[in-house]
Amino acid sequence: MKSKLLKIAAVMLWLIVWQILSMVINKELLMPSPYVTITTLARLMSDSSFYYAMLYSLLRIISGFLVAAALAFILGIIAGLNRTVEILISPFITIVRSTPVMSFIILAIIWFSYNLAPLVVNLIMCFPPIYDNVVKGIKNTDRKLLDMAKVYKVKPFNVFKGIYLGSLMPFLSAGMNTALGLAFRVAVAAEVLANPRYGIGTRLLQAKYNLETAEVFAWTFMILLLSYIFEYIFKLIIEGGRHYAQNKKSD
Amino acid sequence: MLKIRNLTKSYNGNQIFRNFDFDIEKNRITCLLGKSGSGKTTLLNVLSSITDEYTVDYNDFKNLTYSYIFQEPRLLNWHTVFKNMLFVLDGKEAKSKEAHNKIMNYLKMVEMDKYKDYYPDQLSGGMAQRVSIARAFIKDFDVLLMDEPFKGLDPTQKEDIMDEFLNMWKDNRKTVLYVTHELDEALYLAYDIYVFGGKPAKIVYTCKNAYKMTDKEREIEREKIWQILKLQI
Repeated sequence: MKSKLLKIAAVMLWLIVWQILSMVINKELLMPSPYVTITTLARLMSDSSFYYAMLYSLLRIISGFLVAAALAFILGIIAGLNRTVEILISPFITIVRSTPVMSFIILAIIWFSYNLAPLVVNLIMCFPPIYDNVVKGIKNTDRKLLDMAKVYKVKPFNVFKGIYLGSLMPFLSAGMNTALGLAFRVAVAAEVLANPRYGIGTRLLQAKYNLETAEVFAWTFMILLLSYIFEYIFKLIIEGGRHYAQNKKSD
Repeated sequence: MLKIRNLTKSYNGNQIFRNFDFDIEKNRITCLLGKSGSGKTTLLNVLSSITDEYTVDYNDFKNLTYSYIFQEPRLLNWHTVFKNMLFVLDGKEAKSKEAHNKIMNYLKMVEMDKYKDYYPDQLSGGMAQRVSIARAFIKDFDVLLMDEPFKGLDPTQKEDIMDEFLNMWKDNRKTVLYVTHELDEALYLAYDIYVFGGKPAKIVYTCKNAYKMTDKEREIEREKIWQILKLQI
């Protein structure tokens, strides 16, 4: 309870800092106040194009993330069990990790449509953290549990489901958590460059051209809010499985 | 009688067994007594095929089914006690209604039925080990292997758990091969005791039919084995 209050106080503190900064600078063009940002957001929300931009961005973010997660899950398991596959995949991971995101965005714009490019870049960037964690999770599986299953002649599918998947879960969720945060930043950045018809990134760029700094703030606020909501939903899903156990502990 | 002949096994360049012969009586509790590092666990792993890097001329143990009570409970932390029991049952058997009753029955025998929905990390070490003992008995097996299953339990708890184990064993009286370094445990549970020693490992002393001994004979045996164990450092 106390930590919750403290968290709220921290948010308030930074809102006040923001307010004071905007008052000191006193130029809406450079630093709009929280109040101006909120009213600008309300104005944007009254137009249907706001929701189109949100919807398209979210589609790119979530679908890229989910496809990356599915691929990373399958390939991560195979690579975790088979060293050759891991070595074969590793150059790709290294390249994705060390190449600037902008290079991928520009290449994706050349190769794909403006609509698809942000999704593809998002997918590529989300893949490594999930994949790495899945590989780690498989390798981290307790040898002793596998021996136990061997003695009891547990069928391979049940060994996978019961042992590998169970020990994988914390790693998978950590990887997906990292990737989810990345997805929001990468997809929007790609939209700024690709400039698809609908998208938060497109609106950010337009706001910059029109010198509507308050709009930049308003859209940024929406990205943060969405990112926070999705991370929260994700946390709920992950904890859902363990929730029962936590409840039991207290009785 | 179950026999193994000329077992040779190396591990990390050390020869643990060389032309090792070993017999155990069926439907009895046989105890292997020896210092840690004397190859006891390795022998259990060879018998249960956890490891297959060894050579042997003759092996009765090869095609038997096993249950194994390990030193640690080896439960799946992300499954409840009940699901941990279910995990070792065959797919078909696990789906049947009897499986449920059977599991509850065995959990009751180790006084863990009330905890069937708990997760292993919510249990004490002794409770988790009780579950792993119940798990060993729920599976149909030819031989039960035990690797210091009572190690690390506090003394009062240890006696209770050993008695629970004996009660379950008396239901079916199957072959048990049991490894420990605790002389008193061995004298309490075992029918036959083999003392392990040397490198490569050999059986240095055999005490048959320990369960039939009078208290006085048992004291004499205890003293003898104690002397042998003491020399092995």
